[in-house]
Parts: sequence; C-alpha cells; structure tokens
Amino acid sequence: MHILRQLFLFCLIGTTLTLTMTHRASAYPNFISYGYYSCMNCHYNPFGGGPLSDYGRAVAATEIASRYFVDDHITDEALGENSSFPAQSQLSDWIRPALNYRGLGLLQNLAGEHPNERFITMDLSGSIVAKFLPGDRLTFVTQMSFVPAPATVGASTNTKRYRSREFYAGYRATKTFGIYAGLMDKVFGVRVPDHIAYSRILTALTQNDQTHALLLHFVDTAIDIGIQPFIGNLVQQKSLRQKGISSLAEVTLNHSARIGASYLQSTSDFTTQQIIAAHLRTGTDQAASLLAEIGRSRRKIKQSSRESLNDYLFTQGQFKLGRGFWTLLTVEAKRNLDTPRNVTKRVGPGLQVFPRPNMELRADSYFTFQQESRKSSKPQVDLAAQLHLWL
Amino acid sequence: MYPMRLIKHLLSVFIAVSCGQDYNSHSADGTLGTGATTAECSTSRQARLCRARTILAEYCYSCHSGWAAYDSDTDWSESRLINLGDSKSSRIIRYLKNTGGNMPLGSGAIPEVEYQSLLEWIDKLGVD
Repeated sequence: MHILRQLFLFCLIGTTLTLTMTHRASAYPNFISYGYYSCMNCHYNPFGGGPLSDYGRAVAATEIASRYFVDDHITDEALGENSSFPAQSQLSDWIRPALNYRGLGLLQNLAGEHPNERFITMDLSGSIVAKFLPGDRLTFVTQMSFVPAPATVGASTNTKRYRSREFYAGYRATKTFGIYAGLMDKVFGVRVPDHIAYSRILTALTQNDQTHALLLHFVDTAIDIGIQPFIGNLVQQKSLRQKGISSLAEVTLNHSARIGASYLQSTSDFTTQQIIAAHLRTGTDQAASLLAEIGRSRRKIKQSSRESLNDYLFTQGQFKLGRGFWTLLTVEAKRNLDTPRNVTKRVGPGLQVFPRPNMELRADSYFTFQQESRKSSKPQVDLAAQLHLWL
Repeated sequence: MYPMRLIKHLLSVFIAVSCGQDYNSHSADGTLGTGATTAECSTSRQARLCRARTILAEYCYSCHSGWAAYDSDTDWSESRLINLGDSKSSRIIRYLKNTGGNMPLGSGAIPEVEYQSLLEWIDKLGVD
C-alpha cells in the first residue's frame, strides 16, 4: 500500500480512537487537549506564535509547567500571578515586554560516514506589546531577534545579525472580528514550532518567512477564518518578495476536535507558488493531542517554465506522562511528483519537558528513510536537543 | 488615559517599518532556472561552471542560498568548498549522499548524470 495511504490510515485510526475516548477536552497548537481551540486564548496573534498574552503566560505557569522545582507552599494561583515579566510591576499597565531564547544542539547523520555536530541559536528575541482600550482591543506587537548569519549563507560582513520578526498593529472591532496590519507570519495550516517540518519547509513558511500583510480575522465558537493579502517582506529585495493571498478556515467538529483548510497563492519576479492543505487538531482530557496536516505545494520557476509539485504529510501526537512531562511522536512524509515512487519518510520520537515555569527542554530523534520503488534506504539518524527560556 | 499622540505615532510606525536581515526561504529564487546570473557559458570551462551552478541551484540553493553568489571558479575555489582538480576530496562532494554523506537533506541522492557533471567540473578546474 502506498506510504501516503498508510500514513493517512494511521491518522484516521488515531483520530477515531481519540474522538471516541473523550468526554471533555478542555502555546503550542498541541494544547488543544486543554480545551484551547483558538490560539487567541494564549497569544496576541490570532493564529498563534509571537508573544504570549497575560493569560497565555499564566496557563504556561499553572497548567503546563511542572511543579517539581516549586516549593509546595507556592500555589498555582501565585505562580499565575508571578508569570509576568520580572519588571512588569514597574511598568505602565499598557506595556508588556518579553524575552525569549531557543538554543538547539544538533547531531546529524550519526549512522553515516560524515556525522557532524553543531549548536544553533534558533532565537534570541525581545518583544514589546502595547495594548489599549478595554479588553485590549487595540494592540501593537513588535518582536526583534538576534539572528546569527545562517550557516548556509556563509560568513559575510554584510549579513545583518538581527531582524524584525513581528511588527504589526491589531484592532478587535468586535469580539468576533479583528483586523491586523504589518509584518507577521503567513496564515496557513498548523503553525507548529518544528521549523524543519516538511509542512513548513515545502510551503516556505519557516521562522524567517514573515511578510507585510493585512489580516482579517473572524472567530466564534464554531469557526475561525483568516484572510490575509500580503506584499512580501519589505526589507527584502523587491524582485524576491512573494506577493499574494493566504487564507485559513477552521471549524469545530465537537468539543475536542477542529478541522481546517488552507489556501495560499503568491508570486515574485522569479517564482509562483500555490499551496492547498487540510488539517486536523484534536485533543483529549489534557492528556493527549493529535495534529495532522496534508498538503500539496506547486511552485513554478518563471525563467525556465519548470514546475515542481510536492505532497507532504505531517502528524504529531503529544502524550502526557505527568504535569510538565510529555512524549512526542512526529511522523512525516513527502514526495516530489516528478518522481512519485520516491518518498521521504521521517519518524521522530521525542520528549518535551517543562521543568519549571519559563523553561522548556526538548529532545528529539529523527529517522529519515528514502523509499524508492518500495525499497527503503538505511535511515539517516539525527538527534536534536533544545533549550527554551522565556521571561 | 492613554496618550493619543503616542497611539497615532505607534500606528504609523508599526504598520510599515521593519529592518535587519532579510534571509528567508525565497532568498535564492533569483538563481532558479538559470544556474548562472553573471557568468557566460560560451567556452567549455564556462559551460561546465554553468552546468554545475544549474545543478547546485536545483538541489542545494534552497538551503545554501549564499552559494548563489559564487558565479566564478575563483569564487568557488576561495569558498574552500572545492579543491581544484580533485573532486573526491572536495567538501561539496564528500557531503553528498552519492558519496556516503547526508546532503541534500530530506531528499534522495543527486541523479548520477548530474553528479558526474559536478565531478567533471571540479576535476577539470586548474587543467584548462
């Protein structure tokens, strides 16, 4: 049976089991298992990512993080109250600063002839959110990052070591409708923090792919819709900027699951891109969640009229071992339709720990298989360890 | 009371301004389909470079976008990714899946014909 059909069946079985076992599902999209359908519960951005709101910080401190290193006399309520930025009490109530750090240690190709190791600063950023009007209906979000020159670019004195990641204004006209304008991530699929995921790489939606855009957002208990025309990152050379439109619609199936569909179309002087995807987010009893996304990306190179068509599948299960301790299982596949018998599959068991508020540790292993005409290669084995700190 | 002047200033600043590094998934798009942006391909030596750059653009530039700036044999030699006249000891070859390495990431080995073109390009550098 074709590998994509096998993986789709896996998703279907997993979803069926999850849905039938739930009676109530009450930062990361995986936390739908806590009943947080909408990313707006924890983030200023209606589709997630970027700075956490006061509520998001409190959730991270009181529900997600372990109490192992916290004295027993400190209540969860106190943890929530103290989850804000350390100097917050000295600042005006309308301003919210934050700091964020992610470091990644990578051991690549352990089973190969040329294994290599490196350490990457994935993110070292500061953000400021200014919020006004009752209910924080008017917000200004900015996030600046220290960014080492990418290893693939090579050392260059001209490569800047910082960048804007988010720089936008948002206004909630009503509880159900909001409008946002500025530099932000594109709205598409499940916004996972796994930047090497095929669903992020093949769609060119990684951590550096922000765009200047206008985002129209409609939300109620049953549906979440985003429509986002964009003009590319204005810092980038004009001919390279991707201009187009992206959209996402997500519908509540029941109290524990949402399904969604996304569409993106864009063009630059050199390429055109068209992507469609469907996704599922489901969770159960604060104990487990399943994310799944399947999509097709079409890219045309204008100069050669050559077209590249790629399919991808991303699934991730998160399973709770105890408060603050989770296991992850990521299963992915991709194939280029020019060579449909060649399928790349990746299986990634991992461990995710929040040992205390403001800290995350994550360890992942990746086994990547190249399948050509039903024969699989020896897997490439990579290991990654991640440290995430935030204030 | 919120300072209204501050809000107006923030509104004008936040909607348009951003700065800093611009590297992203599309940074190498300008080299796609050409292989060479500035080098001519008329002589046999230039043709081998053009062919090599087309192959590298296809399989490597999506991640290694900085390599797109190397549009001469001299650039490539100074990059220390290749050893003139010796493909098998060149880093860019040793890391390929064709020779037991792990590149390109997430894809199969470079097709044999194109792999041989890369070897020929490097082996004949410094010879003619």
